[in-house]
Amino acid sequence: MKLDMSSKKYLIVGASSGIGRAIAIAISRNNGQVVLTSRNEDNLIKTREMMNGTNHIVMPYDIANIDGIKEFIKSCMASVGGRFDGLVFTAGVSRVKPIRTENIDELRSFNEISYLSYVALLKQFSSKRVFNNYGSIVAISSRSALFPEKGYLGYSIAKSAINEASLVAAQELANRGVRVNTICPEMVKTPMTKFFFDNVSKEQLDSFYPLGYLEPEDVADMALFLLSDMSKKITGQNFYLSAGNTGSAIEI
Amino acid sequence: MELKEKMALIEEVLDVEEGSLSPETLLSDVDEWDSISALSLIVMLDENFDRTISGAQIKALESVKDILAYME
Repeated sequence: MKLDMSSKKYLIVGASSGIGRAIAIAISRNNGQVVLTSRNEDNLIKTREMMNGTNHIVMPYDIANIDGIKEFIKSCMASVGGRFDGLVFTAGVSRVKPIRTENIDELRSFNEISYLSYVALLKQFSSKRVFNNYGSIVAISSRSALFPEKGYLGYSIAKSAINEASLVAAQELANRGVRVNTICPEMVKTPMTKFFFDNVSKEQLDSFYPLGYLEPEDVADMALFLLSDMSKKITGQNFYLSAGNTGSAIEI
Repeated sequence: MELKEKMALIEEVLDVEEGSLSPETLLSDVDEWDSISALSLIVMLDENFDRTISGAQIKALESVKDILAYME
């Protein structure tokens, strides 16, 4: 059963809500064991309550704390008694700021959360001491990396950086069967996109997304495919999860 | 730097289990000795010992002992 994840261990960064939560639940339904992390312990616990199985571990951590990531990963491994087979990176905060209002200091710390934390994780997961051969890494990027729009300079740059980092990681890790891919979804209905979904009209939504707008489960389906052996020959790809859109502007 | 620490650095560069190498280990016997390891070795020598190593010198490395010789 190519989707069976029994005895495999996954770390999900950003598991407290939205896409990360949906992926955690999906992995648990396929018998994988998950270490859930984000800053919000209460929401991580809520995610765990929604999952199948009883061996999932909640490990609250602020991923922007780059210096502590090595030790954090060690404690995650200790909590599940072994190395990981999958890493899912869904940490992210939305950010809309026209260039003339841009704050460079703020942009620096935005980069720490959004992009440098991912690189720090890749650094740990590039080692056999942490990550098994034939493991799979999936980062949630965004349509912004492919079709950047007004107001999204900081966000688009961070997501593009995640895409590029993933392409390099895919090459460096391929010789031990480890795969790295990203999913660049259109707008997904999660707490992070509340403003968009509260203000867009049904007509606009239908015209942006002929296949229907994205729910977290739609992204989770794709993530599961990329984490599993069903995609064992796929690496170094940035998948545009379009819902029928072709990169046109999403303005409301 | 003590030999133990140097060996640990080399094991990190090659991404092998801690304690799995000895100075006598031949690089040809280490599957992990590839282009990424060679790049990592260049970075490690530069950052820890302020030493540079050329492509030709890397090609000439045969054993872990040869790497240790650069770690002075």
